Amino acid sequence: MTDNLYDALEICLQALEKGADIESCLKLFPALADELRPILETATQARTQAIQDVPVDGMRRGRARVLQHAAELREQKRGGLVPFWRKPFETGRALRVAATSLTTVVFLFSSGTGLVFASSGSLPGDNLYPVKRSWEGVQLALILDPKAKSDRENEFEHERVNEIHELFSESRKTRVDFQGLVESQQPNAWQIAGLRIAIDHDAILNSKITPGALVQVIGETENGVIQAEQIILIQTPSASQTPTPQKTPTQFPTEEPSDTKTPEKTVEPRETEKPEVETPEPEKTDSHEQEAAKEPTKDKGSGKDDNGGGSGGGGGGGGNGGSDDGGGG
Amino acid sequence: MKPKATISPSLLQACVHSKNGILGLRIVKYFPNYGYTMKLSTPQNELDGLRSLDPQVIGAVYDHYYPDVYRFVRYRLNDETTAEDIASEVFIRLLEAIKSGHAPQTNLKAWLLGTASHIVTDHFRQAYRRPTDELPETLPDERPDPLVDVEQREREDNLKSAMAKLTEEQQNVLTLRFGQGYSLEETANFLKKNINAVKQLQFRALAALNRSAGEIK
Repeated sequence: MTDNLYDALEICLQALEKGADIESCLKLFPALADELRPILETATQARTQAIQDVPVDGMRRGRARVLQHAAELREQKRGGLVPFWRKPFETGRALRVAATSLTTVVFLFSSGTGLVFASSGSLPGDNLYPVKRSWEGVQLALILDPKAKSDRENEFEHERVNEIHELFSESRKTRVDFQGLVESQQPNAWQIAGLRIAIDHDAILNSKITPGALVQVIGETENGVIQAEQIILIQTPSASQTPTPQKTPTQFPTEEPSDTKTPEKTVEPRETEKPEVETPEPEKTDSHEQEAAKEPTKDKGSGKDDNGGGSGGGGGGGGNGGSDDGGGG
Repeated sequence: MKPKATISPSLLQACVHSKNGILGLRIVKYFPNYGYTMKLSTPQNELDGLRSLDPQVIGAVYDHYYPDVYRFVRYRLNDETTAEDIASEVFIRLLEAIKSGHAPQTNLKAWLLGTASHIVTDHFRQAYRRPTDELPETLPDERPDPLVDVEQREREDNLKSAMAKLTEEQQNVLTLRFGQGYSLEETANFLKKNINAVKQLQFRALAALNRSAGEIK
């Protein structure tokens, strides 16, 4: 039923468009006439509202507005895509860009160099001290020659020590950090790079640190002394020496053992056994002969004493016999 | 179906030599006192020319589609000036959509009428939120010969007012069928609905319009 209603309306609308009137349309669907009549009247009225003429002035105004907007979009597109070096040269703009760039460069250069210069006299604990250390790092990073780099590092190490001396002279209590060679080690005080380092129980130390070692000291200046917080071993004394002398001594000892391994010496102890047999003889011979034989006997006697041996007769067995006695006792 | 756009002979010369795809324009008729009437041959040429923001293509597209857009808007609005503003605003939105990469891909006319529908709906919504004072009775009527058919004008105003109370979809189906003269198939194609759904929609729209007009009376 409803589908027929929608179809009937469409058939009537098409008939009205072709010039038919409402009543003739409704005669086609008498059962739906009451329902269709107001709908068709409204449709007819709606059709009469259709606009035929388009105001030319309004269309022209709108056209100008649209084209103006298109021109603005084109300008934006051109300005956004063309790189600055392809843009037409404008003296005013170029001067502005140049002046801005120059001002920026001058400001950065002057502020940078001024800051570095101001920081050159700073001491640990000052606000500008980090700038000074950073600038030193930059200088080291820019030096490629190893020797020049090493020289500059030594300069900076001297600078650290000088800074600490200045802190001492100003009696300032500040945390410091420097490197130097250990010159002497006392239980509670070390001497490193000419500076006195106080060592207390809280200090973190490395047991391998010996005089001559290169160390890094972290501590605090106080009354002409640095209270050490931590001492870090950087290089041992042997490693700090030049490596070439170390190689030459190792070559000689390898030859010396071959000399010491002569079998003759191993035979000599057997010869010493003979004096043991002869030892009774000195008692019978002169004191001169006893003195001549003193050296071996003294050694034996001391050996017997150590072993806690008994009488000399008991020790007639010589070195070996002494040991036997000791074992028997 | 209808003459689509008009341009002067000098503009025609520029169009023919343009490198931005305006060669898709085809001369339909020459009017001695008015110029050439042209129409754009393919939608692709229209879109290519619009993407390049070629003023000649934009002008041709405007001339081609403005009448349909204006009639569509004017059918729903009872104010000629506002209808003109909204019709040109539709083309501004088209340029903005092209700039932002959201240009219509195929059916430019459907895009333009759809955008017009949204702008008209927004206009009604804003007018509802910010009601204006009614004009005084002493204000002269600018329309020609106001005494000819007062009753017909009243009916026209009532119908427009009644139509504004319908849903956007109901207003669109009535505008396309009775304002633009579209067939059932064309309307279904534009609204992206099947024919039976459009038959049902137009019946309900006419019934609602009839009811709304009766309430206004």
